[in-house]
Amino acid sequence: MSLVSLANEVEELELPEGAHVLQYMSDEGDSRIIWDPANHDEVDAARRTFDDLTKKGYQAYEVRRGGERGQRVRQFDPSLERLILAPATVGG
Amino acid sequence: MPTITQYYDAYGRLYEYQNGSTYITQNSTTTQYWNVLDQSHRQTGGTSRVANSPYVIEDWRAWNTSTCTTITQNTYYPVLETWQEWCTYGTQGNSIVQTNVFPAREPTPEELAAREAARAKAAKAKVRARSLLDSVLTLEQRQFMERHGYIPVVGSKGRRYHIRTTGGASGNVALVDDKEAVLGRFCAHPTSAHGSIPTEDHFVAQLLHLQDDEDDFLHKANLVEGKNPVRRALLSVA
Repeated sequence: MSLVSLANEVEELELPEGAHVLQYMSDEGDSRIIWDPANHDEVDAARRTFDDLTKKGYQAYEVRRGGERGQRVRQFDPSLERLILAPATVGG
Repeated sequence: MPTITQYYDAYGRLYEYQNGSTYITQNSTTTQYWNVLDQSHRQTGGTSRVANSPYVIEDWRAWNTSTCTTITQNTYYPVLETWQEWCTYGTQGNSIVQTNVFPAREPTPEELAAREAARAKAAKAKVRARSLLDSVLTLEQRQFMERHGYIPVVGSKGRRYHIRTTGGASGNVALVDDKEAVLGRFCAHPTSAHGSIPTEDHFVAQLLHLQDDEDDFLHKANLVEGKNPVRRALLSVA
């Protein structure tokens, strides 16, 4: 089982040391893309997902540990530890 | 393909429904649908078109309780959760329009299996979404959510909000003053154009958006309680 599919099986997010994660919302809860910044293939896969989703209007936020305030991210940066992507906000 | 039927009532309001599977409630600007087969809920009209997640009965309840004026019951289909919801929570004085009443029948095995699969998927997604929500909250925010049913948030400009986490994600963002008095309630969600997401994910998106750019959130949100001058005043000082 790949790292990505393994990560998607668990509900609690416990990342291996040094791993970075992109979580995007879907009808299955969040899906996760995990990368090691030193692994070019993994970084490329994460960047593709980021670009695909943001082109669809998803809003990406950097989220730090312990509830520390994050901020909007418009370009993929593999050095960021954790990103959450949510569909664009619309008035309800 | 389902049959979609439209008609106008005596007041000139347009109704649209899918035969045999959908309940509708409606006010002057939006129409809410509840699909009793797959438990999905969606909204048309108003300023947005939202296909909400298939397990947001809380949203349906909140909307029916606060703003709905009419319910249309299409059928006596055996799945009666929606009708029971309406009878329990519907706003007093709401009118009831009953159309197209089909004889009761048992759901087919395929329909039952589809409902069960949808519910199982929704339940799993909800657990993941709750985990995601917990992971972005401070300890204090989690305690507020569990004890008081809302998440306190300080926006990017320092204004204070409560994201209500009981009763769904409809009109659940309140702007409050220093004494916790509500200045206005706002309704904005992640769009479901790319698929429905659990209610808890709505809370996460609202929280992150407010923390990053509360003015943008207010610009996009509909004011559901309070006065528009409140919002204009807020935005003008931004």
